[in-house]
Amino acid sequence: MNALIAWLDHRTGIKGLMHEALYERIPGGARWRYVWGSTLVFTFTVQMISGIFLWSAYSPNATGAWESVYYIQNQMTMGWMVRGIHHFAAQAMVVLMALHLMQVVIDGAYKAPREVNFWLGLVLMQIVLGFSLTGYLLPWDQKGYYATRVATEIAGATPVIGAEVQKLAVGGEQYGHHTLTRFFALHTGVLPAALVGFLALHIYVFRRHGITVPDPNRAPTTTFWPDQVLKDAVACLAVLVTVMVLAFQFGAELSAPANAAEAYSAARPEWYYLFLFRFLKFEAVEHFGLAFGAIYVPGLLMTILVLMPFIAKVKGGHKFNVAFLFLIAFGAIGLTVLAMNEDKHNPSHQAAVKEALADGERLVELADAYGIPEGGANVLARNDPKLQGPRIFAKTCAACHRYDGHDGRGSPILVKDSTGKESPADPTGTDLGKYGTREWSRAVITDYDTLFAPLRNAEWHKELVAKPDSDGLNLDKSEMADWVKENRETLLKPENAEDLNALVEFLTSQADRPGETYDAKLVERGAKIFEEGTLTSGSLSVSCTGCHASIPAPTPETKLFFDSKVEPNGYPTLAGYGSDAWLKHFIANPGHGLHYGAKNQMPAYGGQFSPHQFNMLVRWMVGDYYKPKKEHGE
Amino acid sequence: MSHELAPAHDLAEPPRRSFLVRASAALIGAIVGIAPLIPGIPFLLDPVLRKKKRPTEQPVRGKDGFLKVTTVDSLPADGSPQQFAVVDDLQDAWNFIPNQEIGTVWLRKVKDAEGKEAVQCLSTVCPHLGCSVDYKSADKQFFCPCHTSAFDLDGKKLNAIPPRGMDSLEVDTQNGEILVRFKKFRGGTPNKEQVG
Repeated sequence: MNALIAWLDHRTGIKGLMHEALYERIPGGARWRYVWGSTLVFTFTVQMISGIFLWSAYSPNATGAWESVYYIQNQMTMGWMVRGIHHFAAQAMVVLMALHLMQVVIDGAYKAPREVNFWLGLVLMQIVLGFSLTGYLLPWDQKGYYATRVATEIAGATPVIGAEVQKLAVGGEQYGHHTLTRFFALHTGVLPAALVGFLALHIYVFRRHGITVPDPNRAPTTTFWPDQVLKDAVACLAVLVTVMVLAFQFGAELSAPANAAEAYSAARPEWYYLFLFRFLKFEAVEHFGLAFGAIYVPGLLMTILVLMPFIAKVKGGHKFNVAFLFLIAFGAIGLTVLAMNEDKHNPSHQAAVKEALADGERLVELADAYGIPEGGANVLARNDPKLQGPRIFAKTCAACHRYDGHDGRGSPILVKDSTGKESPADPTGTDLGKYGTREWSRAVITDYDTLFAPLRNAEWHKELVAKPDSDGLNLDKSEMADWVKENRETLLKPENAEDLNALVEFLTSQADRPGETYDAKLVERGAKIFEEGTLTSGSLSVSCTGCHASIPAPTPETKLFFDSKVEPNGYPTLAGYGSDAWLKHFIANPGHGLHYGAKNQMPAYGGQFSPHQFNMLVRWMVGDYYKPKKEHGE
Repeated sequence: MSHELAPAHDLAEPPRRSFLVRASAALIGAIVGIAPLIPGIPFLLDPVLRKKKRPTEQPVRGKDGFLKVTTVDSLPADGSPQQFAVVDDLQDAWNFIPNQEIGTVWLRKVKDAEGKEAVQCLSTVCPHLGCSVDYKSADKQFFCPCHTSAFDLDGKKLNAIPPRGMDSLEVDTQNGEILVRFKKFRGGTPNKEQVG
């Protein structure tokens, strides 16, 4: 072994090199405050390693980027872990960089003769920020896509050459294949090369001047190996463990694939840019234009950083520098906390974040089940009722209706009063969240008033109430409401519990929803009650068929009840109630004789939807979409 | 300030440190040095480690993997071979693309052992190194343009270049339709070994 080392040393001088590397003198002893630089080198190494692994599976193009990241994350062996490490180590790097900068300034390590190394460090900082900016886009999900659009818009605000800068960054006028290939080349080629080069210079110059020791007499002089190495290694281990825990606990998220046609209201930059994001939102800042807030102010702060070594030469300059840095740090932390706090108390933002995550998870479910078509994951998204239905509902139906209290997508619908205070808007249509379920059927026959109460908020209903003689869907004069008042008590008698269940089962079974099973015995019993109105204890004042048309038993050809011939008789038909076909017929022409006839108040939406949209909406409402196996029976 | 910090090798002897400090520095250093590689190696080895062959729930196409290729009538009566594309659903990493041409086969009419009409199916992939085998009608031979492997009409090798004859594939004929069980085999081995 010694002979081998001697042979190698003779040819390479390795012994001297190792000695140089390991036995750097550290006056005053090894200290924890010196570890930041080493942790940064370590984290960068982790990024290089995990980045090259990811590179082996990533595809930079607009219909393959999200898809390949999905594949890495969900299908490949340990892919989630490799990506998780890369994701969180990137964030760790920004934090460590901030700590390193603070320590350098506090210890005065930026002062002569170390100015050049300080500037090299600032260059490295820009490179690291460049890494995070370019890396954020690469998964090509909604989050990265919209954040990058904002970032390139900011680049577009550069004075004079803004438009060209933006075009160069984007790779044209449109975000797409070339945005990805260019960002990818920066992220995996240009920036790593620049970082390695500047890091080598940074370390070389650092070694030339040696460590900055605030207090050389604190302890006996030691060497880098093993004392400082131990401390550095422990610090690196702490970073590694933190990154691993985050990767295990949370994992790197992947929101829905980038889609220019799909607004992303949860758009926020990565958390360490939140302070800048919040800063730009101040009216006073906005007043001076985007370039002021996004370019001039950060540019000025950076300039002061660059000038710090000169400022330190002035009396009290060092104190100013430290104070300045703390001011920026507290300012940034304050703005970050402010931004997070505002988001936390913004229900629309919360709903948008929740939806973005759910969309991402849904796409993963669909990709796992079907694989991804050539056109990319957005093709899956466009054809999924569970994703598209709520969007159509929110845009169209939620003007009057609600879905479990929200707009279908999870956002509350708010109105502003004269003082500008926001409060939930009154719905003027029913809440359709439970539509077509047993709960809904039960409410119709035992709690009609509550179920339809939102209609009372509508102007047309207020007018009807004011003019009781006029015709219309006046809840005060509703035959159905009266029927429920008359029969509620009878239906809710404990002896009739099973009868009520049967009637509910029969009515609900009309929807014949995919994946839903109905108790045939109960349905049969319910059908009899529907016709005859006879209960175990007492009977209904009028049976259902006293008004509503009888429901013919479905034939094998017409599996859907609604397909069988039902004559309009002026009362809503309940044959096939809640089914795909019934809903389509109803939504297209609610004033049809089979539905509300002349009393109808709902606009006809037949011409407003494309056939595809109509399909998506109705299939969502009846639950006709892919459900993963593990969720069946829930 | 830097004059205090003379270059390290000026020290007569590095200070001695306890074994414990050295050992823990080396150990922890090794851990943080190696740890980032640990999840990456299985990641790179994914193609050989992967248990789930199909990443999706899409059903396998064709009964028992037999895929419709053409009709018996479309083959020349004289027994000369003809090339046909095999259409299957393509699973390529994250993509699932239905109805793709995933390969080609040589089909020809033959007589089986009992003298009845049958269909012979040979893979177009050369068993030598995976080029595509052509047919030379003038010589009534299969011929690979890459390394001049040659085979007779039955796929038997005619020179020493290929390690084995052309790979035959299972054929089934139903109602005049030809179904083929399309498979891939390793190249360069004397025995036919299925891939995947």
